[in-house]
Amino acid sequence: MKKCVLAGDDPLTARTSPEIMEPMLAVRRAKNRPGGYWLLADEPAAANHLLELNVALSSVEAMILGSDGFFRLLDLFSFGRKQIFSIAESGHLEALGLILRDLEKNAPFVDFPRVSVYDDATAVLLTRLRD
Amino acid sequence: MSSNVDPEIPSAVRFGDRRFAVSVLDLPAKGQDRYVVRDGFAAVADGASPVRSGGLDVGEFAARALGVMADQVADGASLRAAVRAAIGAAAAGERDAAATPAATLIAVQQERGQLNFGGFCDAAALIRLADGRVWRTRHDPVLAHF
Repeated sequence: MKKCVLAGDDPLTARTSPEIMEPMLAVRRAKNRPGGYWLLADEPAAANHLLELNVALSSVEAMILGSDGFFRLLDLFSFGRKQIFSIAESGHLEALGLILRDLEKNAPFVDFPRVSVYDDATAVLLTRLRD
Repeated sequence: MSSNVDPEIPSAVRFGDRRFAVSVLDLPAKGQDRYVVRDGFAAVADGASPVRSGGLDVGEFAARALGVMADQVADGASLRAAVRAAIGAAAAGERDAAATPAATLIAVQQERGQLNFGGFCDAAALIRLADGRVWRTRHDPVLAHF
């Protein structure tokens, strides 16, 4: 489905096509329902479906919290996890943003399927300090 | 416009007995992401427009939710409890469910020597461990539901 949905020549055509809209609306209808997916919205029971991970604080050197727009670097443009940290922790988190925008601007939709050319990209990098 | 829930980004925050330097990439397109970074808590939310427009502003919804979560965690709430409270508070006053925005979420809270990560949908965290491994939190891409 992904190829079919997003193989259009441009994202506007893709978004307005019935072939695209109906599956998108179906996805919307699956929001916050068993068997679907969970979001922060109007359903308090969603809290029971948080995707959780607990890690010993003492074992963590750095962490990056990000929106899916930032994770296009990994999921769409095949950056490696360690590569992301290597660039970000060298003081170049902003550079990752420039690289991302350049890739988004130039990557053809057929090869790099996505709903929009650009997406909000937010990343919070927390790096352990040694006092 | 900044996507920060707070007026300023702290240069460092404390999680338990550890201090962490803070850097932020804030690259808006639609301008619906929001983030918060405080001692013991950090989170990113990506707002999504509702099916029916005219309700709460998406960015405002995400910011309000993160603000409530941060306050709840500071008061000792678990991540789940903070999420539950945030949902109730952020959507307060909106009676039309179809007009209520939604948001993906990734959050981290420090509690008793642990970092507790919690997320919804396709927001995620990468975690670099002292032994060199890099973990990614579980995530659930929307496209997987097509």
